[in-house]
Amino acid sequence: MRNIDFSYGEKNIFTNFSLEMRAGESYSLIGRSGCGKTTALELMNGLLTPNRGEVFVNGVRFDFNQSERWRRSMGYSIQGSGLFPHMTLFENLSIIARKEGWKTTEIKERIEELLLLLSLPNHAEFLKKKPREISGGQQQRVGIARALFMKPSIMLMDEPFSALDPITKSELQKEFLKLRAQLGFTLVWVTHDLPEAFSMSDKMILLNKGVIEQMDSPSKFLLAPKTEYVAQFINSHSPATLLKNIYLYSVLNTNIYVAQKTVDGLSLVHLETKNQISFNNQEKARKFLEEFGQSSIYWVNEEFHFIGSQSFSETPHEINPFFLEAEEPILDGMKALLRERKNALPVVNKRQFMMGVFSEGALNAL
Amino acid sequence: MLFKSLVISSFVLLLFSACNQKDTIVIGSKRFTENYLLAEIFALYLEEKGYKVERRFGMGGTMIAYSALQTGEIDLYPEYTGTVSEAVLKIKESDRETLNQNLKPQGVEMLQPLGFDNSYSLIMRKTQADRLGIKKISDLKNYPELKGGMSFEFQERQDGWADLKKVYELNQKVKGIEVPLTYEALKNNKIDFAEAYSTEPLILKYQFVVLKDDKNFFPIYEAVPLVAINLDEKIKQDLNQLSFKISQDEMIEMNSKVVNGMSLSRVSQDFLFNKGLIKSIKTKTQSNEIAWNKLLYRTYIHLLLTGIAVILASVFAIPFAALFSTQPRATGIIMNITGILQTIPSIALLTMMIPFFGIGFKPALVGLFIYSLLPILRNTQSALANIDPRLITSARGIGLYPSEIFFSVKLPLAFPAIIAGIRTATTLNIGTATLAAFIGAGGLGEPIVTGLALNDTSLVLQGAVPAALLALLMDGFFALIEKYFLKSL
Repeated sequence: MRNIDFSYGEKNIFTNFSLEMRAGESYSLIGRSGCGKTTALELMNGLLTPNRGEVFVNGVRFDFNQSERWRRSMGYSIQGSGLFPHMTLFENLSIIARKEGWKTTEIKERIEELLLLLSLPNHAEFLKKKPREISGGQQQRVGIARALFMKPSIMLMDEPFSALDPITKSELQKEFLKLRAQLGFTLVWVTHDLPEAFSMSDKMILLNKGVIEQMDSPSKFLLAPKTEYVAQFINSHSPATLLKNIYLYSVLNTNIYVAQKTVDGLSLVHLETKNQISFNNQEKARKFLEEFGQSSIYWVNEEFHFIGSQSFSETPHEINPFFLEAEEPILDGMKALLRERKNALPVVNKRQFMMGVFSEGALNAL
Repeated sequence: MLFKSLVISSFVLLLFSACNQKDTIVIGSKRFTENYLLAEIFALYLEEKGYKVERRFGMGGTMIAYSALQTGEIDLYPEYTGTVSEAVLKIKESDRETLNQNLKPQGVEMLQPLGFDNSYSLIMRKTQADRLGIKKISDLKNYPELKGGMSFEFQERQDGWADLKKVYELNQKVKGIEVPLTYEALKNNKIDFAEAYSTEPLILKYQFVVLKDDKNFFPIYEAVPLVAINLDEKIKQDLNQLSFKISQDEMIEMNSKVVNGMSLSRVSQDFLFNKGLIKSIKTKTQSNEIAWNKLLYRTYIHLLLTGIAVILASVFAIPFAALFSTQPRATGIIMNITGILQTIPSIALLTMMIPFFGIGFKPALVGLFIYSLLPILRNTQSALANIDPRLITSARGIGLYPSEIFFSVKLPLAFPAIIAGIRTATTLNIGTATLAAFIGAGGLGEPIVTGLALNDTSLVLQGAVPAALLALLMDGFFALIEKYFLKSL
């Protein structure tokens, strides 16, 4: 979005607003109500037309005169699913495809794919139901399925899960993350729920009265709030809620070296940059790491699967296989830090892949 | 689909029957016993002569019947010379030759008089008149405290109360009461004098006295058949056979029989049979069968009237409301206009249509159409305006075009409420359509109007009960449709 001016009548929302988002990433638009987050989203798919300025989608200028055409290629989902109550689930799912003249067999195939993808019951009886005959969680899944129908490269979602109960919500959040990892679409997500923003997005964009206060990764928001407003916004949420609802992967420190054994000693690999330094003995490596500010060696195998950590401060330097899982809440991470008497612990994903470390530093911001 | 084709075929049938009218003589009547009787006598006599006759009795007043004659909706009806001169032509002369000269340019002709005179007069309770010593109208001058009761027509017309007051220098207060009710009011001391026709049978029954018109204020009211000038000469000659066949006493007797509960057709047949003008009297079973046929036909006309009005109103109001549903100001203006139209009393609205559409089916249709607009317009508009805005955002968000949003989302969601509006309009119209009989539209209002005029409760019920049942039936029918569509939401 470039140099956008937008106002509702007299009420000015954006003046010369610009925002650049990268394909394939996921973004959360957050902020207090009235900050312009929904407006920003609706400008992205032409639901609103800016008074001035341009919107580019995948490098092509958005044509506001043909916004319907454009919207059909972008996914859109809102709170409470937005399913049409008078249509069956089949009709709801296939509405755009039917308007686009898809063949029935094509539609059926696509629906089958989507039902599978969203863990929805895959049988004819289910598709004949009306939205109100299924649970809120299922409605939301069908809503997402409808948004995904035309295989969009961008998904725009406006507080899609905010009407759901907490359990269904966290279930859907996790599944949606997997889905995105699988399909790789760009995601723009509007939410007033900070924990949700933390867990659902690579980058958070905090808006305040139509101005971007900060656009960063969730951990940066915690660790390095750019303005007083950001700090206050983060702090306004109860730490306990954040700790329970933010998962370790969103506050990971990836600025570390991991160690791999080699024929003639070991090599240290930087997790972010993949820079590699070889050492012929462990002592030299230890010195290097201490200078870098790292107090443990994290051993991984050739596939970067975690093996164990070796703390410098402890004697003997035993290899400790303990690790945290990326999908654990911060609260559990904190408990582990206290229990293990460590200031940092390794974090791995489900395939034991070393993701980074969770350290006390992350907590200072809370 | 079935309903649609039914309506279309009914419409075609109606047009067809309208074209076919040449063969049928349409006889009208005004809304009082004597006029009904005379019209029925005409009808029976012409039927005896082998003509096909359609009865359009019970028109709401002189002007309605007269304009029906002029526009060709009816071919003839019984009228009085005085009424023609005073109320229709508004001239002083009342001799038949002058009247016919004046009627000719209007396409109307007066035939030979029937033989009796039914003038207006003022009546009082005999007891009170005797006590006060009132014998003639000029005596009233000395009793300004007496209260009068007059029909609205009598109060308005040229030879009515206003002039009478001037000529006799009267200054009594009068109340507006319709004619059959004035007798009851007078009998029960609610009023002290009233207008009356000189052939009124209740004068005898209730022991009223007729005050002498000592200043010859009232014109002569000779009963005559008033016909369309282009009516077949043969028919006119046949009708002239009735001239001077009914005396004043015979008329009073016939009126009296009807008031006492004998059927119109029976009294008329007896009279004609006794005069040797018809050869036989129809049996009762026959007339019962006819009543059923009539009931069906009236119900059909009633449904046709309401149905077409509601369908037209829907066709007009639904797109209109849809078009303006996004413009609150325009909607407000339209709502106000239809709201004002709705406040016009139905009978007034129906009568207002006469100058534009004549009498009969057409003006009634237009009137009912106007009445149907508001409920349908309002329901459609509010239903469209009250759709959850998130659904509209959602529909736009997935890339539906505005027309697709309207037809695939808004309209189906608003449908139950639109049906509810049509339901209200239909039940409302079934009620209002009974009033359409006043302007000669037929339907179930016909027996109600006639029954009211003849003080015949069973006749009133013959219209009122089916009308009420019809209203309930249609209400239930639409309730089912509404429920069905609500269920699908």
